Amino acid sequence: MSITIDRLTKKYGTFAAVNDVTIEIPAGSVFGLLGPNGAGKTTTFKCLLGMAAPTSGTIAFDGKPLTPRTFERLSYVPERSALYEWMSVTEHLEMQRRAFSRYNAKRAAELLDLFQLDKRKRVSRMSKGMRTALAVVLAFSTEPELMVLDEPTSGLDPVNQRSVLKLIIDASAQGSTIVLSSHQIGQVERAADHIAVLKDGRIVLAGVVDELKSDSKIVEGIFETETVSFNGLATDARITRMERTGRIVRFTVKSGSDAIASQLSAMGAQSVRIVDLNLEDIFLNAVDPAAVTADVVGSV
Amino acid sequence: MFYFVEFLRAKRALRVIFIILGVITVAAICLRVYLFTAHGPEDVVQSLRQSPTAHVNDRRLADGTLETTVDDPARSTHAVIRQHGDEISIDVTEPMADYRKQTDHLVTLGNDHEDYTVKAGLTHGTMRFKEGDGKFDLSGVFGIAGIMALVTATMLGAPLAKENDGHLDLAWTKPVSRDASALAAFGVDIAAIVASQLVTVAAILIWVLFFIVPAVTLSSFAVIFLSMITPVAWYAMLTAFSSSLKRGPGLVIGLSWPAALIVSGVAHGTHGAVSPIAHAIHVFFQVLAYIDPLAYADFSNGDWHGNGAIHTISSTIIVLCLLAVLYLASAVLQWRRVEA
Repeated sequence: MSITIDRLTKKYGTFAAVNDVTIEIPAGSVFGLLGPNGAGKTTTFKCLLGMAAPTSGTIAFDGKPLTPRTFERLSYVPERSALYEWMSVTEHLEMQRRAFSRYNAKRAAELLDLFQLDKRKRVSRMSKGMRTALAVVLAFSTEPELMVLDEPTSGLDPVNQRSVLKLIIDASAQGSTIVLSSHQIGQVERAADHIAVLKDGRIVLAGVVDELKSDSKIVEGIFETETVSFNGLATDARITRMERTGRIVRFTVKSGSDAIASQLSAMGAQSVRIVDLNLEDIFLNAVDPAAVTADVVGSV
Repeated sequence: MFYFVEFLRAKRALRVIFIILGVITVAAICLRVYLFTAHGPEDVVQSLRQSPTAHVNDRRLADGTLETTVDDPARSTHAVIRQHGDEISIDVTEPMADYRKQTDHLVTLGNDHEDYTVKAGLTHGTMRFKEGDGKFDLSGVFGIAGIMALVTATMLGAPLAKENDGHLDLAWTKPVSRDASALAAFGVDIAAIVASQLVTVAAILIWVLFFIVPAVTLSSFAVIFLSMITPVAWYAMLTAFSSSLKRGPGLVIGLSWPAALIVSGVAHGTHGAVSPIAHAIHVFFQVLAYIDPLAYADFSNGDWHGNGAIHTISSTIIVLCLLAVLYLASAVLQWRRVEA
């Protein structure tokens, strides 16, 4: 199932929580929606799922607007637990069974085993991690074509975080479309093939993860002393960011990484290497590039 | 089935009703057991007649009354007993100890009256008993059960606000429209309210059977219908007043009874007031009372006082049906506009 979000704006009074957002999510992709707290990720999800009315803009699923029938093929893990405190795990599963024709009891039982959830336990007696696990079980038990996962590993221990990540990758391999939001950028990097970065309600970066990564490189040099001056490189337009930790210096470069590496060698670097950018670097550059560069340039 | 959560809520509310009825049933059983150890007016008559030293004289009066005179000089006892239909009267003069033995643990299931004086060591007592006629008006029973239905309606009130209290992410991501899910919830709740009333009616009849075999009568279908529609209208009002709330449906439910009773109480209390201020207060509260289902909650048959200008049971039923429909429609319209 593909999703097209076209010029979506959601205002609360005069405050625009989401501002003119356009996103194309291809069918079968894992799409990471990233952004700092308050960037508008959850509001985007609420509009996507019809829980909040957009101020303007349109959203289409396979080219059609959202209808109640769409939810037969869609599941959602919210950022905060929406489970019923007074209901047990079994009752929540029964609720899913009665509501969704695609509910798979065998799959639900496997997932309960995976997260070691006690079927008889009431939600009021469950930890935050167990609640997240139950929400994940409910979402995956209906074998949806589209999953919207807002912080699906929140509160989970590392083992269960890994399990959720595997579920996402497996679901994607079977053709499901996954829209994922998480502050665990490493997890998004492992799962997502497309990302968009939201800041103050606007998209500041979007694209295919591999392409974004190949846009820039990291050139890392290790020097004998900490007193080497890089003033000449600080003004180089090819460099978007510099970091220095003791004898180690890292440059994020848009182009000419080999030339920068040669310059570092000429400046007396003991070793120089060129590495790919990771998603965290891309995210930090996108949400506040000026602040990072200024800070590092100042220290160089 | 998208009303599973509401179905569970209704089940929990009915469980509370069952617990209340169960406690009352246990109390009724205890009372029945106690009554086995007590004695009735027939036992008093028997003990007076059966004394070996008593002279007993029966005679039938012109009106059919059986008059029994018991004269027992050896026990300083003199009694005149009159039995007519289900009425028994006993005038007895006897020593205090004997009198006490007869009247202690004396229980009757009908009306009774007992009075005595003590003079020269003897007690002169007068006892009047009238057994119930066993007639049992079903409309009155429904009226009493209507109170239990109002309790159920209060427990189930505000179903949409309960969903809005942190559960919309689950409730609104099911393959069903908001309108359909709201209407399904209303249906489940109303069925539970009616069920609680019917169960209470059955329980009351069982309690009565512990003591007498009732001759069930039905004086008014209208009272039965009124007792059933009032809790539904009350539920609808709670739902309408809370459906836009994001938090705290309990506040609406908690304040609803005192507020509703104050409105109807002040409206009735200031009726016919002559002072302009009191009249203005009456008008204000009477207007509120027209939209307060509890102001119509009078399930008595024959002593109907109405609500303001609405004097008849049939017009009250029509008004309550309208209120229920309007309140529920208002709740659905508000529910459409709610945002997560």
